[in-house]
Amino acid sequence: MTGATIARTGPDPRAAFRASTFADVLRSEWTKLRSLRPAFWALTVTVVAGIGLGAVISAAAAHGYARLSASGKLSWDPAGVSQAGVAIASLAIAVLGVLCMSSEYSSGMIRTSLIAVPKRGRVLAAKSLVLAVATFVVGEAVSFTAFFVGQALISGYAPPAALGDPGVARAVAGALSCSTSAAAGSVPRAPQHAFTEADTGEVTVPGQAGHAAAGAPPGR
Amino acid sequence: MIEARGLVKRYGSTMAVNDLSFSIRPGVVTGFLGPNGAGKTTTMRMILGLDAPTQGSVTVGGRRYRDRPAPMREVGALLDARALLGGRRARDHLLCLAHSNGIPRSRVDEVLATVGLQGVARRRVKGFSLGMGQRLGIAAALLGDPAVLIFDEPVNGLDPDGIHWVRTLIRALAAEGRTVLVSSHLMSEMALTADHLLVIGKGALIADTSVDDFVRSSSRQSVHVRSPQAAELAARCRQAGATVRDGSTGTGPGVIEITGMDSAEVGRLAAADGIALSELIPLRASLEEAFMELTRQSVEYQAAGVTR
Repeated sequence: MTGATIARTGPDPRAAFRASTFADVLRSEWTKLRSLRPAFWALTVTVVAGIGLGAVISAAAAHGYARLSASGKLSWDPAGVSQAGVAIASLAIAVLGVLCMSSEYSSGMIRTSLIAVPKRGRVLAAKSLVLAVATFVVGEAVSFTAFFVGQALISGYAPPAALGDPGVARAVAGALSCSTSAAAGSVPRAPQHAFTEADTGEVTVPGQAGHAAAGAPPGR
Repeated sequence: MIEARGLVKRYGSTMAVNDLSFSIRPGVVTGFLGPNGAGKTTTMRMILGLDAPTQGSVTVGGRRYRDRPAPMREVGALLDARALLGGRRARDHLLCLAHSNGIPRSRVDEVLATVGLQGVARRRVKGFSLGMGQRLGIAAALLGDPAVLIFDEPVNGLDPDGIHWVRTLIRALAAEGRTVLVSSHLMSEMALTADHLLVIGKGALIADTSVDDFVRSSSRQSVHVRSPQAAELAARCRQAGATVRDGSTGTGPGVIEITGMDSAEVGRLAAADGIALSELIPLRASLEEAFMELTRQSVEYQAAGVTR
């Protein structure tokens, strides 16, 4: 830095004037999600329940393996055991999806949001996409971590599963993606209906976890 | 520049806004005045695209608000200071809004300083007083450094210090050449803040005038006189074409109120006839009275319109 600068060289907001883009709205929705306190708690529950609970159940089940009957040993599902906490984790993700949108309506923030971005479709699309990506990333991380932690605890006491076993990778990858789409899909709907939507998804989807298109953005 | 043409908003059988046309110019503060329920907020919501007009159109700078490429950079609005998420920190709230319009992060701290909230930027807005909430709403409106500003009842809930601050800020924004529309149901507040007035009642435009003209045209100017020879003076004034009535109750004997003649004329008349005056006071209806007079007339006009 040589020579004195006399004129202010700070950014002139007017010089930076440009049209608002979808990327801007995405960034705004990401900031909203980050600064939404219940979102933090929902993600904490997802991580703690998915990994912690999964670990506890895996350890307990592995220690009980020796006492299982022959038929019990035949139906031993180490991958399923390690994913036991994921069901609760996915419920937390579904709740997060509902909260994301309902909090805007219940607080009145939606009016401020729509003045900032009058194109409503943009707000909804950005919110859904941000939620889908965020919950997908957290969901997959939790699901795979729970799997590896679970298998580590199981091995030595009972036969563990490996990702290469038939259907296992798909089950682990898909375990939380269904609730991710349920969460993101709840965004465009009225908040009152969203809980039912998410619940329905929860009850019906886990059996077909493998089918769920991982992290698919919602239809709208 | 905000322009409305034949703006109509109907909710079922209720006519919230009825054929409103106006244009709001830059460089002056335009006060949007009307009793509660007159349609001020509905009109503002239509300007901002939150409500679609049943008929007519309203544009900001020649385009609908919804079609503006970067709305917050062109129009700043404070509609409802409570329309935010209580659990969010003040700075995060502004950051969410700034990001949506590509406004740099540094601008958030700038507006926080402008409204004097930098000390509570990390506090959750749930704990804010009404006045702090209003300041945060004003900060949000200023984020994009817009040429057009719309404030719905900005002094609501502010203490005298805050009211003075808002008034000064609004006047400064207009002095910078911005278009400023401020709504209020308080005429006295508008008298101190606005240059121009849009008065509406029952959704229809009653007056579109400068504040000075508004007072002049709608106030009844009268002269209060106390004199031991009040009856004599009253007769002289009536001869000269003025209207005279006895002073209102509680003013004591010998008091008359003369309309249609200014105090100088009354004084001349009294001097010419050797009438002694103990009090000679020109009375000017206050803005509040002028406003009530005007809105009452609008109600009467509408009633007449029904029977016609």
